[in-house]
Amino acid sequence: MKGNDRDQQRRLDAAVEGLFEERITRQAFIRRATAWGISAALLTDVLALHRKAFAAERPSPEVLEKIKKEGGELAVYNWEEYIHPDTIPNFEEEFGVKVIFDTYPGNEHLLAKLQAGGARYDVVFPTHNFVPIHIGQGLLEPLDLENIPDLKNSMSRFLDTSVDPGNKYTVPYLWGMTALAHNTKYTKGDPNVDSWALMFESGPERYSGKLAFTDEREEVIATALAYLGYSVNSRNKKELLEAGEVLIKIKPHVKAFYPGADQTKALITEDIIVGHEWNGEVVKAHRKNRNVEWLLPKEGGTAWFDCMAIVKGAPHKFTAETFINYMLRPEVAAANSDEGGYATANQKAVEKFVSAEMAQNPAIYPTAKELARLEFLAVIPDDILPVYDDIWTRLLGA
Amino acid sequence: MSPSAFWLLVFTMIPMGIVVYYSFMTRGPWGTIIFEFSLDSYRQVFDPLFLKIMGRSFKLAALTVVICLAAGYLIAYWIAFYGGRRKNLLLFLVILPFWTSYLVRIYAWMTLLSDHGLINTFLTEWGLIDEPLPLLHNQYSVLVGLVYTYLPFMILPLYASLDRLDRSVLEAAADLGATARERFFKVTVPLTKGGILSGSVLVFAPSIGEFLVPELLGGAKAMMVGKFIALKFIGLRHWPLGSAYSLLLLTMILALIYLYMRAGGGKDAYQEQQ
Repeated sequence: MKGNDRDQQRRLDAAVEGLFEERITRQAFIRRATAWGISAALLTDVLALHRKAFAAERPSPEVLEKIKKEGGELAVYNWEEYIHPDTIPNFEEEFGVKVIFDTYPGNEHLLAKLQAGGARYDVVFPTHNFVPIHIGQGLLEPLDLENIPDLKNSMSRFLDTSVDPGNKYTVPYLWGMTALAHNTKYTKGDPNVDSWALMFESGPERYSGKLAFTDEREEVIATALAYLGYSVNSRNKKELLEAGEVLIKIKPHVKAFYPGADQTKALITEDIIVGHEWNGEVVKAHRKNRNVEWLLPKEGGTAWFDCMAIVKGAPHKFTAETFINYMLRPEVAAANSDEGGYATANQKAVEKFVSAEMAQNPAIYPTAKELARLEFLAVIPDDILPVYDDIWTRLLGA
Repeated sequence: MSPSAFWLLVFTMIPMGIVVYYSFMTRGPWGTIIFEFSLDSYRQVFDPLFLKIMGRSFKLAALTVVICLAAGYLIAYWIAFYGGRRKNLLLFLVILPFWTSYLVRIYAWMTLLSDHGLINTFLTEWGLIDEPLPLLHNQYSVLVGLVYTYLPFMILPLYASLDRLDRSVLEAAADLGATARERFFKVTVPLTKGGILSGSVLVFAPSIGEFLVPELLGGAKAMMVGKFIALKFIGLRHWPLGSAYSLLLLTMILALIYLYMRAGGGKDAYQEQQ
């Protein structure tokens, strides 16, 4: 190291401090230090010191033994682009586990895969309104909360909810809203820019062919219900059919019903001007194109939270619980939230670790007034499900 | 048991048997399957919307066959007659795309066809158009995807037929005064009927039930029958009904293929002569 380079010294100090406060990982530290030309001897010293300081915090031999007994593997099945790239490697390094990581684009895919059986996943991330279906079908394994002490870091609002009383099967992960993305370059001066009318009234007139929806049935039908002034959880057949009509009418002007995160790119390239979209995707699009903005209409929108759960008969149950507990660490939760563009359900993470860009962004953490406009989607009971299916099939098949 | 019978049993008959079995079961709460005999699914299976979407799928699959046949015949003919020493290399190039993930290749088409994709960017930059052409998310983009995906299935059987075509037959036709056009339509085409028929079936059957291409290139707007059935499984969570629809689709495809084969005779005229 060049002794006269004070800037380099400062950066090294900051990195060492970060390492000790666990803001950066050992791997990231080594990468940076090597890039700055830190000598191998000094690096070894710092890391030895770090290992000593954290010896107490490292997993106990019993935990490592139990994980080893289960085979040292873990199969995680998560949404696309929904986790920090360091999260899994750090877990693997700390606990000596090899993680198999797969992704899915929607709740229905997850459910169908688990129902078909034989997928052998350990940890999955169903959305709250699909949790009762997973439990009802007997697809989840009850959690041993003793192995998940960090559940206490979660916000009380997401604990012991109606979808899983007592958190017998699930713990909260990230949460978000589904409403509108719009490109201000084109929507500037539109009188409907605070309402679902931006989609349903201005849409056909001004942005025809540049409209988009997600391809989540409940979410799409909820948009028309909200526009019509009904509850997004309406179980009234007449209201639902009316919403279906509104959607069929707008369909010729819709470019696509995008699966998963596919709409994000179209927002960035301005192929889409007004899109029904998840807030995190809008935030990700905004990072690339400053004209893309989030809009929570005055009529309201839907809210949801994704959960972590263990699949029935999971071959690595203890490892899975250890992983879930690791995901509940405030710094891990914060990193996942920053990367995924969604709010974390982890109170400690929000207080201390989430980046300012995220914490101060009302598109991620809405104001109290906006929160009041949100309604959590409820699970669709079996007796009304055929109505939803019929509306949805007719809409896509029209 | 011969290997082919084993293959047929394990990979065709047993899975089909499971679908048949499921179609007679009962849907339980939350979409579970209760193993009690029921005809409920078959009572619900005649939805007029299914027929409408089936019609659209048939149209797209038939168009795919026609385009693949025209393009495939040209390519196969050229390789068989003018490929020379490079025949194997050319055939290798035909199957080369299979080495890459099908999903990635469809995404590549999205990159080409989108409003700000390569084609539109090129045309706008050169001042040929002012506004991007709506190339993606319609029935045409689905057709492009289907033709692209299944063209090799047409080329390979056509090539097999064309390659073993006895050239002396063509020479004899020429000696007897047949024009090039007559030689093609009266000799070459009838002698490669087997390749045409099997190529058409190989393209038609997977095209009509295709799921991924309409989903991605159609933006879920040009719904085909595969998606309709998928919705019964994953949206309605009614596996018995989804199974019943699958069987209905299968029956319809088999009936169409049977009629087609009967109309076409099923064998090369060349084979019949021997």
